[in-house]
Amino acid sequence: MRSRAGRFAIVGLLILLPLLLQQIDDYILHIAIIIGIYAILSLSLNVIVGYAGQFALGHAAFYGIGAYTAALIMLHGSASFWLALAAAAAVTGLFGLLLGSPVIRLRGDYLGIVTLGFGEIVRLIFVNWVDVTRGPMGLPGIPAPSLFGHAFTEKIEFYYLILALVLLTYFIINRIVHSGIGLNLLTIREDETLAQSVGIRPNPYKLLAFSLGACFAGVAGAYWAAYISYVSPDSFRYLDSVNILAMVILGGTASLPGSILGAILLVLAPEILRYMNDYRMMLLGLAIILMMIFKPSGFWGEKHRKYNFYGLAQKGGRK
Amino acid sequence: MDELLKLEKVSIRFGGLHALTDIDLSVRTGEILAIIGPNGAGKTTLFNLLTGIYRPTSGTITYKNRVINKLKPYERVKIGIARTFQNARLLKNMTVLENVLVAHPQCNTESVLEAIFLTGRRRERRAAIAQECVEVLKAVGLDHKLDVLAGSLPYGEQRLLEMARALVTRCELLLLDEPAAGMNPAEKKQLVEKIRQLSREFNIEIVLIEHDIGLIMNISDRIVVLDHGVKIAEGSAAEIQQNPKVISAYLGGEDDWD
Ligand SMILES: Nc1ncnc2c1ncn2[C@@H]1O[C@H](COP(=O)(O)OP(=O)(O)OP(=O)(O)O)[C@@H](O)[C@H]1O
Ligand SMILES: [Mg+2]
Repeated sequence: MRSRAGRFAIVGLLILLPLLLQQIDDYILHIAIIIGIYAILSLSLNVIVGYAGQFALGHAAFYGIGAYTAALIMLHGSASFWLALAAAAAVTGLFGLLLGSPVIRLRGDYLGIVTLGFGEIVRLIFVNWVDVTRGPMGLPGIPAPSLFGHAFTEKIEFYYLILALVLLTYFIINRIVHSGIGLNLLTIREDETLAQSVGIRPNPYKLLAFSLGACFAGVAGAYWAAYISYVSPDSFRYLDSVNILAMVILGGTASLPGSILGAILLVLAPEILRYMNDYRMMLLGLAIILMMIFKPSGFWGEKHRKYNFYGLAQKGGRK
Repeated sequence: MDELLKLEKVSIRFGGLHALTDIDLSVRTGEILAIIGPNGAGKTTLFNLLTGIYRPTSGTITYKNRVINKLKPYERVKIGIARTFQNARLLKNMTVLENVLVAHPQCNTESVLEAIFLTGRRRERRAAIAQECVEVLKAVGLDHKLDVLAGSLPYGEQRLLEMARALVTRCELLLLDEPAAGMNPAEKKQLVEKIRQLSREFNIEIVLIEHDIGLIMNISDRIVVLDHGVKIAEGSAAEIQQNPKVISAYLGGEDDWD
């Protein structure tokens, strides 16, 4: 995203894309929608992993909590999608805070293991709390969103909805990570003792990262529930967390365009390599390992940034 | 206020190791205090106690008539204590300006909503904050390298950047851990000038750890000598040079003064 003009061009292209393609079939739109959902997930996880440096492995749990929250509110409370979306964001944000409070005291591997455990516990609750979640059968019949009295039925409508949500997510996260907050998060990530020695109190920032990341995963979850009109525990497994983490790492930690690139690559790759389905996870693992060895900063890592973290353009660029 | 900082019988142990024992020390306003001593004497440990990275096993640390034993490092920064590190600790992949920004108190307190909505007023505020950082960088002589990555600066400039970062916190007490290490004589001479000038310009008290005896004689008003965690001498440069205990610590076998 070199410049303002470049950014507008990309957004404009995405808006016009479905119209430009003469016969866009539903399959392509579906893939584009899935990319959008994962883009939100990887952007939000990037706040936790890339900026706060907290190696969290349970992002699918937040995604799931968002989906179930929205589904339950829409089914039982007959709330509108928009209200459910806001509620899902708030509830998952709160869960981020709850999970964050104990785990920010942990480091590296321990944090990974605890967040992994959190992800499994949440999934088991989806499976076993049958009264509320209907267990493995899931919750069907979630109503589609409607806008000004018009209910979404076409894929193209869902496409524009996810596009709007991705742009909103990108905008908000971009503003936050390019502020004093982002600068502090990176300082904490690089050297916590140093951060403290220049006056930064680390814990509130780490918590903020957790709840912000969780909050947007909740948004993705709510969208998913309304799009598929059905939620079940199967969509929020440990492998999904790993997949999102892989998007962040492949795209580049602490790089927002990187997260989107990661989502595109890892949603498209299995579709293209469909005939190799059995080897998918193996290839994914291999790709991550190769990436770590040869290009640890990801395909679109921090080096690409042209603005410094305070949102000020650098005069004359990097020397 | 005459005594800005006062240590009374401050000790710290790491397991069985008595890193510092019963240290009495005071920093007075308007002076530059030097801490010297052989390797492993406990100088850096003393700074870590003052900045709250360690807590003393016993004794009290009083700053501006307030006992600060229990304050966390970030709380001590807020009351005016800042430091540099023996091995320059910078955000190597961030620019010179960013390295100073992170320490600016107002950059530290930006809220989420301010960040998201980024109003014109907030933008102006940011520009003003950045400008203040540039001014401090100008004072140490690094304002021509704002957008250079900190990791690619030569060693001497990394030390200066650390100083700028400490100064921007608006500290009143600045602790410099071996600021001249790795500099050549010409750079050292400039550094002495710089430290003097900064101490006047920002009106701050300075405590520095240094091995270069020439530099110390040149810059400090008072010297405290540590050896094996004990304060063995205190006084002016001339007094210290005459002190038999100091001489024996100097020449005392395995302890060498690099
Ligand atoms: N966290 C720690 N745990 C255990 N021992 C420590 C710790 N920090 C310092 N020490 C020990 O305390 C003693 C004093 O160390 P310190 O770093 O303060 O020395 P110094 O005077 O700064 O030496 P130098 O001139 O080499 O920098 C050393 O023996 C060191 O090994
Ligand atoms: Mg030392």
